[in-house]
Amino acid sequence: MDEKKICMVCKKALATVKVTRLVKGQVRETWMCARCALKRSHYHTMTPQAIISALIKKEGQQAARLNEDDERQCPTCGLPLRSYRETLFLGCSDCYAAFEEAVVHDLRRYHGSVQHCGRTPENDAATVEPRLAIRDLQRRLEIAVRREDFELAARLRDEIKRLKAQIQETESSSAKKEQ
Amino acid sequence: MNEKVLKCDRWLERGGPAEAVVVSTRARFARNFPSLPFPRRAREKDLCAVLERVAAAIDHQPEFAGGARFYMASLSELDRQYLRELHLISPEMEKLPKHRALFLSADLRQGVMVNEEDHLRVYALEPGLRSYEALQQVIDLETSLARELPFAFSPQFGYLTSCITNTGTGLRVSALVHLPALSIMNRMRQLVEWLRSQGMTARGFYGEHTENHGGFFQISNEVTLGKNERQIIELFSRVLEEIIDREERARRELASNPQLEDRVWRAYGILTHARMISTNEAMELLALLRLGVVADFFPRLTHAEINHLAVAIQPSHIRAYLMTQHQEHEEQEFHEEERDRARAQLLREHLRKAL
Repeated sequence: MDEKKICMVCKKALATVKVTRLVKGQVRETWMCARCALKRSHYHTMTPQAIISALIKKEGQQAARLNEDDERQCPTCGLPLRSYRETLFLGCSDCYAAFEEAVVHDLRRYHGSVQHCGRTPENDAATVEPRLAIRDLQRRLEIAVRREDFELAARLRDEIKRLKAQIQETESSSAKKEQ
Repeated sequence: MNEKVLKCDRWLERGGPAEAVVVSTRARFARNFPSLPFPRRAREKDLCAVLERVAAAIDHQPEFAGGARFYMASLSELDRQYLRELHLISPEMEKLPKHRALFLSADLRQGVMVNEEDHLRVYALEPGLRSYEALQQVIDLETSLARELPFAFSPQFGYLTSCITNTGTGLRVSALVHLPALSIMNRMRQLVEWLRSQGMTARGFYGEHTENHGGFFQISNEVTLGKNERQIIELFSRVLEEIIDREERARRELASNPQLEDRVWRAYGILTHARMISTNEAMELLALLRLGVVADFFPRLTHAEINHLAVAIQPSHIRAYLMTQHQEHEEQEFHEEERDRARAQLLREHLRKAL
C-alpha cells in the first residue's frame, strides 16, 4: 500500500481522498483529507447522506480489498455483505450480527458511537420530563418578553400553565394509587 | 378523491408556538420486527404479514378509533400525492404504494407508516414549534404499540433499522421552518455549516433530495446512536432556538430596507392580480409576503394562513380545488395552464382580504 500522504490543500490532515482531474489534456492528481475534499469537490452537490455513504464506501473499498473474497451472506435473509457495503442498507435485524465488524465500523463513523443509551423495550414507561419542557418554555417566554412579542409570550404562558396542571394531575393520581 | 384524504389538511389550520418561523414539528421512531426481512428485501407475504400485524395493534389504540386507514395501493395517485404534499407520507410511499399503509389518529396528531424504509415509522406531528409535546406523543404511541408488537432491539445497538443512519433510538426530530430572510441575505450556507457541526442537517421542503422554494427547509438531527431521546430533543430545541433567533434578527435587519419593502408590495401585487401563476413562483412570492406579515403590512393575514397556502397551491391540491370548482367527482387531469389559472384564482380569493 502507498505510504501515508498528507493533504495537499490544508497540508495538515492525513489524505484519504484522491481527486483526479483532466486539466488541459493532462491528468492531475490531488490528495486531500476528507474535510478539504468536501469543501472543494463535486461532493458539494450531494446530500449529506450521499457524501457519508460515498466516504464510507471509499474507506470500505480499502477494507474490501483486504478481504475481497468475503462472500459472506446473512443466514436469515441472504443479503450479501457486498450489497450492504454498497448501499448501507441492511436486509433484516439479524444482519447486524452477521456483518458485525462492518456495521460497527460504519456506525462509529456515522454516529461517533456504537453504544445505545436510549430507551429500551423493558423500560417502556420512559417519558419526557414535563419539568424539562417547562424549563425550556420558560426560557422561550423570557426571550419573547424581551422582544416584546406579547402574543407569543401569552401562548407560552398558557402552555406552561397546562403542563404544570398536568404534573399536578399525575402526582395526585399516583398518590391516590398509593393509598 | 377520497373524502378522508381531503380532510387531512385540517392539521395545518391549527397555529402553534413560533409559527412565524416554524411551520410544524415532527418526531418519529423507526421500528422493525425481529428476523423478518426489512421492507426493501421482504417478500410479498412478509409485507402482508407486517401490515396485518400492525393493523391489528392499531385496532387497540383508542386515539386511532375514528382515525383514517389509508392502504396506499387502494388510493389513487392523486390521493397519494395530496397526502405527500401535506407531509403525511414520504415521497417513497407515494411512488411505491404496494403493501404500504398509513394509519392516522382521529386528531391527525399521530400516525404510523407501514412498510416504508422500516416496517414501522411511528410519528407525531404538531403545528409550530412543539418538540417536547411531539416527542411525548410519539413515545406514548410507541410504548403502547410495543406492548403488542415485538420490536427488533439489541442492548448494544439499540433499535435495529434498515439503514444504519437510524440505528439506536431510531428517533428523528424534525421541524419544517421558513427562513426567507436568511435566504434573501445569503446566510443559509453559513447556517447549514453550523448545523452540520451540531450534528443536525437541513433538507428541502419535502425532505431528502427535494428542492426548496421560497426558503422552506426541514431541520433534523443526524445522530441517533450514543445519545438518548432526551439529549436528542434538547439539542434539537437549542438549535431551533438559535435558528429562530438568526431568522428574526435577519428579518429585523431587512425591515428597514426600502428595497425589500418594495419587493414585498410587488409580490402582494402579483399574488392578488395575476391570472396565471406556477407553483414555484407562488412559493417565492409567498415567502416575501411572510416578511410583510412580520413587518405588519398585512394586518389581517396570519402566519398560519401563509403556511396553509404554501400547501394549498401544490399541484395535487390545485387539482382537488379544480375538481370541486367543476363539481367533478371523477378524478381528472387538468392542463398545466388550467392549473396555473386556478392557482392564481385561489391566491386572489385568499389574499383579497389581507389589507
